[in-house]
Amino acid sequence: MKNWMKRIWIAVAFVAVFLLTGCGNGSTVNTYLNIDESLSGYRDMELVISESTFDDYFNGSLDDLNNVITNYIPEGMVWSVDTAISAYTYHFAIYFSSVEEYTNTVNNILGWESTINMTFPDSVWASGIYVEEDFTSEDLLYWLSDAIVEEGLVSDSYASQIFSIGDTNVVYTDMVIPTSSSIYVNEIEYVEISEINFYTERNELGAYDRTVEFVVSADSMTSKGDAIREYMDGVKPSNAEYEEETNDAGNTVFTFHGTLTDAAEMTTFMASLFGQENYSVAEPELGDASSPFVFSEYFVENMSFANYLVGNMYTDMNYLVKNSENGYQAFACNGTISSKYPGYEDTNFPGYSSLLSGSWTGEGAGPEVGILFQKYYPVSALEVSTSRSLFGKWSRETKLTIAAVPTDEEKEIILAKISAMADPLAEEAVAEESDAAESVTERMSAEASEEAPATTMDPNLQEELSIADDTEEEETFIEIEYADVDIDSESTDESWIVTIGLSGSESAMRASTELLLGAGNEMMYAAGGNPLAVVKNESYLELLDYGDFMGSVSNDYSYIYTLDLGLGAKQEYCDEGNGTATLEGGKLVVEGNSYYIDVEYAGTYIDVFAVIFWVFVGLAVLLLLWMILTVVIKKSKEKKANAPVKAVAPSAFCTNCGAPRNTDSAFCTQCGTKF
Amino acid sequence: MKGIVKQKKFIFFLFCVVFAVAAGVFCCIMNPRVKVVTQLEKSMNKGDVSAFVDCFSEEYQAEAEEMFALLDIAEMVDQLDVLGLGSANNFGVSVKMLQGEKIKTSETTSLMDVVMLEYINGVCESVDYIQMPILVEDGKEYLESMGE
Repeated sequence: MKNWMKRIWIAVAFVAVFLLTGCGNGSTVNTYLNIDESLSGYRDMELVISESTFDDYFNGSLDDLNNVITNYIPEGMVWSVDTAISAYTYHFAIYFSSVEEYTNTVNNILGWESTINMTFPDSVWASGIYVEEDFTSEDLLYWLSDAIVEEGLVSDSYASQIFSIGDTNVVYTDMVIPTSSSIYVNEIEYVEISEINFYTERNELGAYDRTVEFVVSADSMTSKGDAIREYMDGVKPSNAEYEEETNDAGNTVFTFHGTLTDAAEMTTFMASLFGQENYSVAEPELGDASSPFVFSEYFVENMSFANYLVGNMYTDMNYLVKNSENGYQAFACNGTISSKYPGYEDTNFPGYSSLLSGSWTGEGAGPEVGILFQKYYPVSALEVSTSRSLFGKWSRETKLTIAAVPTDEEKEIILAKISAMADPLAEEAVAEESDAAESVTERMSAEASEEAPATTMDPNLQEELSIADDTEEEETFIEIEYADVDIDSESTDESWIVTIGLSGSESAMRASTELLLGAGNEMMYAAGGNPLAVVKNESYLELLDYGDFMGSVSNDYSYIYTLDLGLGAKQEYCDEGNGTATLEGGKLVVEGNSYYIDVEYAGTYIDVFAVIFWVFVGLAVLLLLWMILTVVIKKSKEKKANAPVKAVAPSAFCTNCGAPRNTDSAFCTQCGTKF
Repeated sequence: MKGIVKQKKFIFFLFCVVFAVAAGVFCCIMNPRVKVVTQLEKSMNKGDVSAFVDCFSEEYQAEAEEMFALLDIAEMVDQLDVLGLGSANNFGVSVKMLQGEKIKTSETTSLMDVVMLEYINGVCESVDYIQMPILVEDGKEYLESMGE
């Protein structure tokens, strides 16, 4: 803190003395910044101390002063002294082979970050010299003021009267350009580029139509028209059409047009115009979920206008896009679909939207533009049918009606995307095919607390989760099970219907639902009551967010959700979210027009197995009673049958003719009647 | 007795008994009940603090006792206030706990989906979906909290 105070005091006093004494009758510091075309050179700070000044103000000899300089001079600076009869001329120099090296050395001496801009353009767009610094030689020699006071060569009261600011010059080739103590030299002759415009459109063939316009003022064309034409001809990309025309304002417009199929072609085109080091294009993955019904193409361009603009020269830039007739819409995008936004209409560019515009210089990073082309197939109807079998197996059929029929190629892509999203087994199979040596066993280690919900697993997949206990180091592996997936589609004249069937256990359904629709979806079933009770309580919960999955919906979009509860279902509670619910024929039907299905249902149902149980119990009881009754009746009959019967004597006469009966004969001897 | 055994009805009877037993066993398998949740439901409906507290593992029992008071008074009265029905004294308030999927998270812990139906005068007024952590100690199940 003391040093800073001292420096400030010295600087203030220095200026005061300079002003009071005209040019300071002590010693002056003249600066020469010598630079060549390769941006190497040296800064020479010449300090001339008159003999009288030395005698009047310095305590000690010249050797003492030289010793102080030797001991205190900062790294990166060299010095020499020329002793003439009437004055001592010291040279403090900083040599550099690049601007970067010069900047680093200066920063080390100053102890703070300085700014040095230096350029010597020699092109059609600009030629001359441009140098700018935000420090002075006084700043670079502060250490000397401190040192001579510190070592007692000059008293505090005289220190300020020793040095004064002299001349500052920039020396470039043969030119000596005077400047202020804080160097600013701008001797560049510019050719003005009024505008640089970029037009991009995704065409029907899946390629990008890119046009780049350079609008050059009439004055520039008058002064350097031939050189500009020669330059433009030289940078023309090999895959571009090039034309020159004069617009209504009298400016000349150089137009380059190319049809570019991929990033490589885009790079070739743009790098030719702006320079290899001034252009790059990347195709990063979008950071959030995308719908299979939305075709997205995303790329980010970084460009610099350094080859056209020098120093503070700037131009207007317009980055324009056009929505394609084949359905592709263009958006500015910052890495995620949720961050996309459409351009604004600019009346100067009819038919195009502006994603980015403004004034840009050629220095530093130029414009960075993320551009997202998307084609939507809006969903006009969503039908979701959920059911749970008696054995606890869930099934959910999701039927999406797409208002417009995609091309066959697009259909294949959509179905493949859905398959990849919903069926990890299919993806795994593809991975296996591509790399047989790669194991299908994937082990993911994750720390989880005891409360952490476990995930399920398909034994075929053998995907494993390692859940490490907080207190124990042992690992438990929990398998993730996914639902069976069945994807089908059918076309009509006006629409295309995609059906996605999921079936499996509750855990498997949850896992597959998360894969398909993303996190935050819920499903739950619970039942209560005595296991043998015919009427039991049950509850269903399904929260299904189809927003990201569908991507977009048509104006007449609606959904129908059906929950098959089975016959005998009786509703006790239902929260159908934003829809309207009806329960009929054992089916809960919820209708609405949101992409978010939220159904909470509680009620009673008739347990078929409990009914069977009680039917058989009833039958068994009835049969038992019947058997007991039968036995009782039979016993009673047998008792009656076994009672003693009196013997009846046969009649002595024939019952037919009345003739006396012979007891030994079986027939009547008179009429032949059988006895 | 021999007469009964020889009857065809007896065979049908046996057939019914076997099927009844099979259906009963199947009902129990298809509707597994976790005792501690059933006990929790009964204790809440009976207002039995000790039975309620017994549902929880030892370290959570003090907390459970405080929770019971909150459940018994605040929640029920709050519900009635919301419905504009005034004091809980004149109304029959009960809960039913429906049991869902139970997933094992470690050798001794599991998470169970529970749906709590809250009835006032026999009408289901609200439904809460909860995941209850269950701990098995010495062969007995305990709750580690009322879940989330």
